[in-house]
Amino acid sequence: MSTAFYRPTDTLEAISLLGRFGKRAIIVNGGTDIVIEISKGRLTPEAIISISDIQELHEISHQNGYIRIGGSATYYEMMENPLLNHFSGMIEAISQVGSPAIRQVATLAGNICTAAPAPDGCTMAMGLDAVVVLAGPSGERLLPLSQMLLGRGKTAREEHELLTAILLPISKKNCAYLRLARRRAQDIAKVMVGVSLELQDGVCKDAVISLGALNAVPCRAYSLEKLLKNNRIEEGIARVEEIFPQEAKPRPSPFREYKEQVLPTMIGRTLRKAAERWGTNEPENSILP
Amino acid sequence: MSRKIQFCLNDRIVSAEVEETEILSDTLRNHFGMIGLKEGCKTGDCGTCTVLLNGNAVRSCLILTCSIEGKNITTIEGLGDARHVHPIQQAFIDAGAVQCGFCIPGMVLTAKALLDRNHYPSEEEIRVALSGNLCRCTGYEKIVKAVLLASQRMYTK
Repeated sequence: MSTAFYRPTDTLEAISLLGRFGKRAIIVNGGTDIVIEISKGRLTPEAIISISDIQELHEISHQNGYIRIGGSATYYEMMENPLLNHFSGMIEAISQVGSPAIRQVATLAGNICTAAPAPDGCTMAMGLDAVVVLAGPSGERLLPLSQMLLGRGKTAREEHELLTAILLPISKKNCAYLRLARRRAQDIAKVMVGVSLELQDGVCKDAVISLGALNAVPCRAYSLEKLLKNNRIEEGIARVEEIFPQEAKPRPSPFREYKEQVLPTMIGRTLRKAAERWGTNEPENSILP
Repeated sequence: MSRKIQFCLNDRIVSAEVEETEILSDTLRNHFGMIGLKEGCKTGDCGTCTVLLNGNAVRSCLILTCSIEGKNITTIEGLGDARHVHPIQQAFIDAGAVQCGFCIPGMVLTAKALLDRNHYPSEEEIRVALSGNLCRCTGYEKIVKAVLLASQRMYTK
């Protein structure tokens, strides 16, 4: 079977191609995962739609209470963008993806759509309560990232939809990210934790905790979030460190037991790191206009 | 089906008929004889297939050739050769950074992209930049020293 190659230069053109080919098309958005599948012949699409040349999808902007990260923005572009410096946890997460040459082309939107078990940026984005924008022939819809990921390789994206942006809410929270891996570079972490915290005079007003590399896709630890809320943060963290979150269901693997042992400590450390960012009782993104 | 594409390879406009599913490392080696880049792992982990895409170090095994239409590609052949040795290559020679040589084209191109962006990288910045280029011979010490040496020679007046 032959494959057609498309390189649209605007979003509407890409969406109209998706409307035409649907499931028979593969979107290449960076391609660091999917190009291997194509070149090894494990995926044989009727059409390849490369969206890296859609300039508008590379934009990172501040609008309506969100930082909007365009669907084709690479990790490198995100790391270099001053707006994202107000989300230290996000920079911590994405600066550890693969290697510099991977970050040069790989995208957060691409990793979300791949729906792999251990994506750094996606885990942190879920810990920031991110929302994805899905655009199709009949318009746009917004979906919380936690509802976007359905299972390994499975997302709520319809076949004719394109993930055009990721929205990070500008909230009264400070975030942090930690991963546990064997090497400092080019290692898929064994445990990933992304959190954001709202504190007021040492009391936790709100918390979001996201866990990666455990389940089929990153998940929220709602039970721990509830436990932290309205309690003094040091006491909350001490309790969290004693509990294995019910939402985490590590997949069978040689690392399973190890992951189970280290997870509560890793969550505690990440929460402490976010709490330490509350030195001045101000969230770090409060200086955004 | 195949597709004709045109791009700039080492400062020359070139064209080729390629399959839509072909990866850039295959095109550069098989159509253009750019055998300085190696196909090591073919999964983006080893860095031996590194080329510069519009000046940035990327993995040519993870890029579909059709997607580079109209862009600039630099391979090690475009950087220097035995008669015109690039200062980064000379620094690698002088620092004794080369043993088997398999990883070196990728190392040199990654160093080129780094030094273009950051003339005076720290040792840590060099190690981060090279963190996706694996060398099984040298233990990296002399490679890092070579990049520091290149930085000094190229940018210190």
